[in-house]
Amino acid sequence: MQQQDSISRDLIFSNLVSEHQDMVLNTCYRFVLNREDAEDLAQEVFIEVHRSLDRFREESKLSTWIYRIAVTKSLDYLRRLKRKKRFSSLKRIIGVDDPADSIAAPERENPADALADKERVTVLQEALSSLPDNQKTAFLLSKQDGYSNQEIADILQTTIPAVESLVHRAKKNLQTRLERHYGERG
Amino acid sequence: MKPDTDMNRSMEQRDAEVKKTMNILDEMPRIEAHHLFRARLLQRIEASAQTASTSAGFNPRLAFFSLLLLFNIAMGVLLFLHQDPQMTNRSSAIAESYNEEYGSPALSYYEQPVADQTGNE
Repeated sequence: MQQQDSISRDLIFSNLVSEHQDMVLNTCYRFVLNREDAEDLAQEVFIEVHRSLDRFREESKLSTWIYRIAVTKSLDYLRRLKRKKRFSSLKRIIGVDDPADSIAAPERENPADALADKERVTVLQEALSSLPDNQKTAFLLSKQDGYSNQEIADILQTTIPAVESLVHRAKKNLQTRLERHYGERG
Repeated sequence: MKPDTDMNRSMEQRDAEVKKTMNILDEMPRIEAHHLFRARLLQRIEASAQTASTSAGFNPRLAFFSLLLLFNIAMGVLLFLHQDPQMTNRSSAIAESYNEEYGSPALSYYEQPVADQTGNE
């Protein structure tokens, strides 16, 4: 009987993974802007889902619950990265290279364009890291296909007008920050 | 006129850069999971389940913190005993009573009784 329960649980989990893995992966990718890190994070999301599946209380849709875990894990990852970068800037001062500095950028044929894109990704990451978590989340999820404002509101456990306000404020703050950055560069 | 033109041009350049940077998220391709994603995931879940079952009875972190707590309590008690004046008085009173009871010449090993010393010399 126990074995049957275990088999059916594994089957349920396997179906969950195949149904949601792309969405989870792309959600994490939006946050971390790095494919390898996104895959690692997506794995951690499903490990957490596997661990906590029995505790799921059906207060929300299963998909909402899974994507909420993805967002939480991604935000935790970004916080850890921020702490690492603070440490790595110290390492840079003393002359030690840090692999955490490598960030993926869109592939280009022209090396100058590739370098410019890489710099823009870095600038975007820094601008995004300056946003509060709820603004960052609402903004990034709004940019991804597959999330309606209702779903974003469910993930953030808020209302649709609140989500719209968060997205608007995030865009404004990002714009201001980027204008300041590129304006200072001259 | 020229400074205004230069300023307009630099603002246009700045705005173009801002737009390109904001567009990164819109132009991001949709990625697909690696073909070994699920296999790796199941491997990791199995590995973590095995680790959990082997260390089920013993939690090293809990053991370490319990030991640390015990050590701190013991140090606290020792400090308290050392600083307690009543305890100090009691221990010196005990030392004095031992001195009175065992310090008489009759019981000493190294001092000869007065009568023996006078007689033998």
